[in-house]
Amino acid sequence: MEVVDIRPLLAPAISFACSGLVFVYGKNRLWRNFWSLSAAVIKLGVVMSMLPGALRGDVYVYKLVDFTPGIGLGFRADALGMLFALVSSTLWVLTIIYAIGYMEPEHEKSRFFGFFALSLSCTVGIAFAENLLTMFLFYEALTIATYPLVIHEETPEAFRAGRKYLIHTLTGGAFVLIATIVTFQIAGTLTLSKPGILDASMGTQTLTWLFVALIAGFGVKSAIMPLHGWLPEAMVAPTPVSALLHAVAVVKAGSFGILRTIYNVFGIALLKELGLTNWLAWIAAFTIIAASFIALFQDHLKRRLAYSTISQLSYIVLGASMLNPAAATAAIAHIANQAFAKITMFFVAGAIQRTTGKTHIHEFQGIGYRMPWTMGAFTVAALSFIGVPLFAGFVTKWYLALGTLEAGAWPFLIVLIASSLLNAGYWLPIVYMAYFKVPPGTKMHVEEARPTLLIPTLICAAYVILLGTTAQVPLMPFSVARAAVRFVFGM
Amino acid sequence: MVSWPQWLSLVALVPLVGAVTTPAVSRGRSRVAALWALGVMTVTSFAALMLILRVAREGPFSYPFGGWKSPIGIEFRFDEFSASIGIVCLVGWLAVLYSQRYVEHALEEPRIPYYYTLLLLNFTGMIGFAVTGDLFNLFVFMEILSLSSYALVAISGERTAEMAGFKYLIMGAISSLMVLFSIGLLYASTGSLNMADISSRIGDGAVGPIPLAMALAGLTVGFMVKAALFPLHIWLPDAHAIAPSPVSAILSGLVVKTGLIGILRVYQIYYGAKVLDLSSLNTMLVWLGAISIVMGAFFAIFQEDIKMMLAYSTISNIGYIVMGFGLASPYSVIGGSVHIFNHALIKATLFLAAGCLIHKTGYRTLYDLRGVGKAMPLTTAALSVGAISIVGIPPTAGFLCKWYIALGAFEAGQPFFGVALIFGALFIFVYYIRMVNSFYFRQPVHPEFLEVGEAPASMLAPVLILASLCLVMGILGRIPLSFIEPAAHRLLAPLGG
Amino acid sequence: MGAGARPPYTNPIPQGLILTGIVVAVSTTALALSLIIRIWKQCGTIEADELREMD
Repeated sequence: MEVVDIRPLLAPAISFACSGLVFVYGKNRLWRNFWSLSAAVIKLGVVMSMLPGALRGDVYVYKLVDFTPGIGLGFRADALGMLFALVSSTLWVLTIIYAIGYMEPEHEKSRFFGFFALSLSCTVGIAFAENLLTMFLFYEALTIATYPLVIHEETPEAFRAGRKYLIHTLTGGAFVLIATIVTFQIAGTLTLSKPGILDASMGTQTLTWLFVALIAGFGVKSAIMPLHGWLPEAMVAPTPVSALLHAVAVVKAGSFGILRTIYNVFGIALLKELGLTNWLAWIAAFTIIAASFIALFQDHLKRRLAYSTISQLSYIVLGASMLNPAAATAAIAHIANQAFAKITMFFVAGAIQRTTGKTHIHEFQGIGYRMPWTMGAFTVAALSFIGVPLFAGFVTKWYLALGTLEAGAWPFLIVLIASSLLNAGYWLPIVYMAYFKVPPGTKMHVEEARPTLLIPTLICAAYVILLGTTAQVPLMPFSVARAAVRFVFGM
Repeated sequence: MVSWPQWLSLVALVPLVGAVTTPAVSRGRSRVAALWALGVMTVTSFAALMLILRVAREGPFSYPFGGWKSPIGIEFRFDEFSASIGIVCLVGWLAVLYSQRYVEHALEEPRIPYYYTLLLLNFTGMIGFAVTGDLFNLFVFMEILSLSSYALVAISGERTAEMAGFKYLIMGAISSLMVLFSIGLLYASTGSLNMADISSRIGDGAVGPIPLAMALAGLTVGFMVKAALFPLHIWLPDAHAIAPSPVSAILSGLVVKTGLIGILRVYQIYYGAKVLDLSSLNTMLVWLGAISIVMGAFFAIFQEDIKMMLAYSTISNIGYIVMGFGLASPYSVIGGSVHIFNHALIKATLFLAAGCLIHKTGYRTLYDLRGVGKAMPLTTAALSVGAISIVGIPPTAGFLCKWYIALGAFEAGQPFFGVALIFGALFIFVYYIRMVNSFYFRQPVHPEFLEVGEAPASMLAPVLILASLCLVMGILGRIPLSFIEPAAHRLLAPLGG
Repeated sequence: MGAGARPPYTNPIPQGLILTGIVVAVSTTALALSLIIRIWKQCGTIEADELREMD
């Protein structure tokens, strides 16, 4: 049931207002932190308040303005969007706390926090976009808003990464725009509120090109190989940026776009008829394996995390392209599962860097004794990625495996198993190094990260376990994912 | 409210009278000249507003001079395309306000009243060009406009400025001759100078195709020079970059658009013709538009001088508009026409803001201006808004036009141009990101200007007003779109569109 | 055309047009010449090749 309600607009508006306030009052540390934190909390409250309704099947809609008839800005909080918004606003609160601690010695803090809030505004805008145009608008704005964050260090390396980032994502944005225009041309509407707005009568060739354009456009941010080049480079950004944007907000915006393309633009029935998702599944499978292999050889922790992200994001794409409810559940739930686990790891990487100055994996010998809590959190996240039961990643893997079997696509099951092994192959050595390879003669003293860094890390790690154990509990992200699947498959 | 058609004559006469009286009224006092010009523009703007309100309510109307009805007498005719005088008045008013402090610095004292005379003459030319219904009148107003533009480019009296002005004059004079000959041909073959009358006579099929085709070629090429469409753009970069900044804003934002309105008028005359097939002209314009987009962007990338960069970006944007016209589908014509308005807003923002930077710091290359974002946050913020808008990132003014023109390309069954347009915009982004980078993220080369602070209020206010309009028009874009829609459909009606 | 007009007569419109055209052309030429004079004063030459070298 559709309910007209301003809250889907309010959520991005709060972050937007926050960024304005930070730009204006950002010189003062207290005001900056106050506005950032309170906006994050209020926004989380707004999103949470829509959750019971979304689970009941209510959809909150708000039409802001029509540019011309049929083209306008509209907001709509359905279950799929709710999940993405919920994840990103929960993590915003945690990341703000972390960033306040992490950014202490950095320069240009008001610029940082201002654009950070702006990016989050765009992310929730993408989540709650009612039509493709609104989505494109926030998708492009997200690119612009994150650019100052990527080049925050202002080193030549950062500028190079920033340029690469812009070239990749803006080209992707151009593809999305072209696809949006073509969709409007052939369907006469851009709404994302239906399970598919196109139908087979519009010509197989046009539809194929349209699908390619949309997947290429969203695939850039989702870092599908070979469009992933910007992501490892962008790791020069400060850790909170890498954590929230390059593990959650920006990359998931791409994955979310692909989900919207498959479920709301084309629709399951049409895609089954066209058979376009087969090759998408193969590309995703290739990305999962290839990125994992590259990750094995990265010594810089953040780069290894980046390649792991590339690999994990393709789980979502793979799940979506199976076109059955079990795999769809996995794809949607993985937005949350991967986000919490990956952000834990990024927090750990940043905490280690700030506390000990170490950034490369070979330097981590014995760090498990210096920073027991931090490395404990890391271990939790690593186990989740490997897919050990009781951790979040297992839920995804289980449903994804069910989905591949249901679709009769057993090669992908092998890909999943191989991916688990590879994940073990690149995460467990770090854990081993941290706990069991202590260089002789080092003094065992605990030197933990400061509380602003440690507490968000631990909360995220706890959430990873929570996601893995409470899949059936209402109001947890998994229940939202199931609600989204019910809508998509008309169950 | 009264909206008598006499407003139509006033809107061109007031700035003309204002122009010639400026030196007499001010008698050398530059401040008086500035105030006088501002007052004249205020009255003109009011008249323009009345006219636009009327055309929005009742559709096109005309005013015959001396009561002589067309086709015998001279008439002014006001249609939706003529509403471009609204943007002339808006940008013109703000540019006059802006000029007051800028020219104190940039020009010698005795020249200043003449500067305002030339500005007002320039506005007279643009307004007259847009509202006249008579082909010869069109030429006269075009010449008033062109002559004052040449002089304004050269007014600073520096060697480079005079060279640029001279180059502009030569190109402009050749194009004017072409237009004049074409008008002569049309008069000789149809016996009329009234555009609507010529159009209907051509539509009857009474006129042979050869003089018509020759006149068409002359008019199109002539207006293409004025609009600086590739490959006839060579005069533009120097002239627009070297002129005083408020003049650059007017030239780039408004004056080149006169050529585009000229092309629209040519379409209005010729679309009814049965003896001529305009599709080859359209194909040519679409290709030239596409090449302009790419070439403008390509050359802009290599510019260090900020105003030079903006000048090349104008060539790209003219390419958008011409492509929109050439695609000849309702969406693309609407998009192109509205981009005439929006690009004027955006480019005026950019040039006036760049002028603020040059005025305060004395530097004009991206290298020298590094780090200026900290010294002049408002000005550089306006520049960034302009940059985002011109690239066409939503929800700014530039986006809707891009959307409409690309949609028109798909509608016309030429998806290649839609794709080219959108990727051309990416190309444009490359050099604007260089600009933003150097303002905000690079260490200053000349740290001394970190103390200069913002430009005076009379310069900053126009910049900020225009920048906020760039945003507002993105959100309220449907107002100009729906306004221009009937005109576009009427224009394309003979094509069966 | 007036009732008493009989051919051959001269059509006044082209004359008006040409006259205006001349006025326009003369003003353009005047402006061009004044620019040339100023360029000559500043650069000491009006040879296009030499001017190009000065840039």
